[in-house]
Amino acid sequence: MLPVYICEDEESIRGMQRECLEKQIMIEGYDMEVVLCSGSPQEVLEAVKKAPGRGIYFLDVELKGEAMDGFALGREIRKLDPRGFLVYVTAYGNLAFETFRYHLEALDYIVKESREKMEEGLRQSLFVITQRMRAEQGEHREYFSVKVMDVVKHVPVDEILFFEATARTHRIALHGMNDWFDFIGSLRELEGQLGSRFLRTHRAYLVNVDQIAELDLKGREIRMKNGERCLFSRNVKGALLERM
Amino acid sequence: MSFLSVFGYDLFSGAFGLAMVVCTGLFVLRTLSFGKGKFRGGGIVLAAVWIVMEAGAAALLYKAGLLRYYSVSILLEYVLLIGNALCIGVLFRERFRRCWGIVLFEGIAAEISVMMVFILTSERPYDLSIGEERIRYLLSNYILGPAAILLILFLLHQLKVGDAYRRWLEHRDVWNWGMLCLSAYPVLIYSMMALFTYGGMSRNSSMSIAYLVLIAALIVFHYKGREEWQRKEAAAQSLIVQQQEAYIRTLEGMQEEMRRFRHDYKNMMSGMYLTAKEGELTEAMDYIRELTEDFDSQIGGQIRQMSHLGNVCMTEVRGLLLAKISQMQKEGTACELEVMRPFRETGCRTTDLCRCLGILIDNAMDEVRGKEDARVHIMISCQGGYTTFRVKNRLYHEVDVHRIWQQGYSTRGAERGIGLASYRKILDGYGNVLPATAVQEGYFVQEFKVQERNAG
Repeated sequence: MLPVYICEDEESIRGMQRECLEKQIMIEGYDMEVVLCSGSPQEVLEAVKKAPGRGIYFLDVELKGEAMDGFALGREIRKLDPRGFLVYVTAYGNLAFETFRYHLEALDYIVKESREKMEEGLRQSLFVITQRMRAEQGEHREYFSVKVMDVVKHVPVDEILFFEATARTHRIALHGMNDWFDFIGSLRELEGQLGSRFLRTHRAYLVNVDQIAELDLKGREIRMKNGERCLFSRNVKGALLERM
Repeated sequence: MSFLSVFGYDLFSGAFGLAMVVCTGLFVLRTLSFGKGKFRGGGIVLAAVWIVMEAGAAALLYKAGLLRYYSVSILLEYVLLIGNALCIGVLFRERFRRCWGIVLFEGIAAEISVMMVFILTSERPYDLSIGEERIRYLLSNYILGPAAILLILFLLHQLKVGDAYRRWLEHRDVWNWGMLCLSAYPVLIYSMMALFTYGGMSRNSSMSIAYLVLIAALIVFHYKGREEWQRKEAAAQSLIVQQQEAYIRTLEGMQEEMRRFRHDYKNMMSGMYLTAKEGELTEAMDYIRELTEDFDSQIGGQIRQMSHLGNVCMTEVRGLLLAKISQMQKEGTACELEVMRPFRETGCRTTDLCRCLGILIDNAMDEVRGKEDARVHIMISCQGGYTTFRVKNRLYHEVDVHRIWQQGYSTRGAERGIGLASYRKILDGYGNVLPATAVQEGYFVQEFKVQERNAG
């Protein structure tokens, strides 16, 4: 059962949200329950601390008279519940939602307009959450997660082509099918972390063996499925041929 | 003089010289810093080894009598300069070209201080085998010399010559030529000394003249640097004026919208009054909803964009964004700018930042131009000591995230795609910047993150 938390400073809207969500949960038979409906971010955090686990959070962006705004509250919640669903509710359509999505992995936002529109937004959010959870259940994909300065990036392991040590010390470039980014780390640590699917073919390369298209034995080059090339050293030639 | 005492003196001057270079970089030019993760303690050991090596080499050359030859002196001078530049490069994790600039600046300041001391003290070379002469040499070299260089560095600091030089250093176009000329200063001094001595002049007079020529050259350089700086200042001023004009135009546009809205609003209000009077509550509610929606769509969007733009406190970046936003408006592209928290400064050079952001925004604009619902999303976010710059646009065709970095690769035909290659080149120059590219749910996302000095 997924706990639902509401943090909203305006009492009438809070009551309306609770009513609408409870009704929708009952109608659709979702495995969820509104466990807390409060105007105080601190109270929400206390409750999350007491019952750790994945939850759904409907948070007001502007919390008047509170030390914390919706963004700061979202940050704290993320620390306690990295996989929870954050939905923001805002009075103006001027929410910097991309920023919220980028830093907090927020799911959606609802604008406080007419009652009908808000209810529609709440229903839609619950629907999206159940869809997403269903999709997760069917998926057994392994993800590679890495901290890049202040955010954590997740890349499906099977989409990674190779890691490359760059000219700058401790800086690694991840080459993925749809991603390409730098982070701070070491190939040796990655080698241990990622297991046998990846092979250290060269001082500067850690390669996903499943993504290799062909080998150029003469030039000691590996051509990946997306056309990129990386190097291999003489002593891994045998291991490479064996794995291919 | 025994080898050991010569070695000892050289050890002192080597350490002092390197310390002066560090001081110059830290306080006069302000290009070095002890920022977190920058200063490398292990480099101290390397610096110590280098000082011992240079002192040993100099002592050997002295004992072998080779320092009489100008060519050997010049060579030794260059070895010392390169060694010192490498040392501070390792200590502060700086690029060699910047360190070389610092070392040259300090070297020239030191040469001028030597000249001052020479003019003040002796008219002829010291004979170090005589005790009294040696004391005078030591006094001038180790007390007056350091005092003179400290004085000169202090004066340069006060006169803000260091700042002008730093700006000059950062200017890419003058770097190659200007640095080449400055790098020739040991050759210039020694060859002129040789020339004048050969012409029958006493060693010290020839030295003084050589130094005077050097100072004259420096004044010319300083003048050129100032000229460049003034040109930049003027350009910045005109940029600010342009920005203010654009800002005023936007405000005027908003005022016009407000005026129009006020007119509609009066009509709607009287309509609403009548419906409410007749007891048609649903219709009255619809009226209210329409009114708020209209306001949001007509003026709310502009107010929002202006408040986000207002959070960009760096004039150059704000100017760039304003220019791009107005260009997008003309092209019918919607621009969504998000700057949630004030963005005041960042750890990379403003010119580089503007170039990189400009390249990313231009690419996004090119991709969506002329398309239905064309939209570019720009985010600048400062959180916990990190600044993220992110540009996002919908993709209308396949993009290979790895080939975009190749010079000349472009999906838009020939002579394009130079932008991203130079973007990459600029960012590669920074140790505290991490770039990222992704294709996510049909969007092309480009970002770079800067680790600021106060990062937690």
